[in-house]
Amino acid sequence: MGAIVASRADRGATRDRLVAMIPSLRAFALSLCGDPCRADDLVQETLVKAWDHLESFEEGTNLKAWLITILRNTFLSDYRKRRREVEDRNGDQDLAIHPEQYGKMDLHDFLATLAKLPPEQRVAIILVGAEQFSYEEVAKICGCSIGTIKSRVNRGRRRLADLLDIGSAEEFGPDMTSAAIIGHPTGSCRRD
Amino acid sequence: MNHNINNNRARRRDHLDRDHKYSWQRQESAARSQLDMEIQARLGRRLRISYQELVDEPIPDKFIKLLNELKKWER
Repeated sequence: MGAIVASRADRGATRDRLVAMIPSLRAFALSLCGDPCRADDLVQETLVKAWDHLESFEEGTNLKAWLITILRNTFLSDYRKRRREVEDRNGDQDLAIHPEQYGKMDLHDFLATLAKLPPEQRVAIILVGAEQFSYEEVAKICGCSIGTIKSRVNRGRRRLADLLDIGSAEEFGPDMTSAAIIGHPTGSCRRD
Repeated sequence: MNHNINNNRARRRDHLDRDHKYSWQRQESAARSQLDMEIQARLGRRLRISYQELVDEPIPDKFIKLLNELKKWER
């Protein structure tokens, strides 16, 4: 308990471990909220909260999962608060994400498409599909059952596949696996 | 006797029809789950590629400064 920050040297080591997590935290935050400025605010809040509560981190457990849990909770309470404010002000206005600040087209598509999923599905899809956590780990992060995570991932996958038109086999062009199945020669990755 | 033989033949034919139907359904459901797996694989690949682009972004200085500040605080 608290051993992680017991001495000056430990604090230095903790700082280094947190720095190493920043790229993942930023990617997760931006995938969740689609706005680079808000994403960085989320990461900053997560790092400060983590530092303030280091004694509640169990040494030897997954630091990344712990930080992701803090970020996810911060994002969701922020999201709910904003939604209440928006509903109070104007029922029609939605919480649409505006990822146009991000330059690359593929990333823009990716973020814009993710933004169409309900936030809890977004979390599950990113953690299972992109961060490659196990269902069990994600269930722990989200404080719910493995079955709930599986159903969020399945519903999210179906919706994403529809939105990205992946079922039509047009989105990516054939890769090694699909080439064998759909009988195309392997070739360059087509992106529209 | 004849009646029995005819009955048996009819039963065999039913079995064959049913087997054929089941095998056709099996093939169709296998093809469907193959397609699902294919879609999932494409989706997973797309997610990981886009996500990796985000992860590969350099860390802004403000975060390093923030952590250096935090490190200085006595707890």
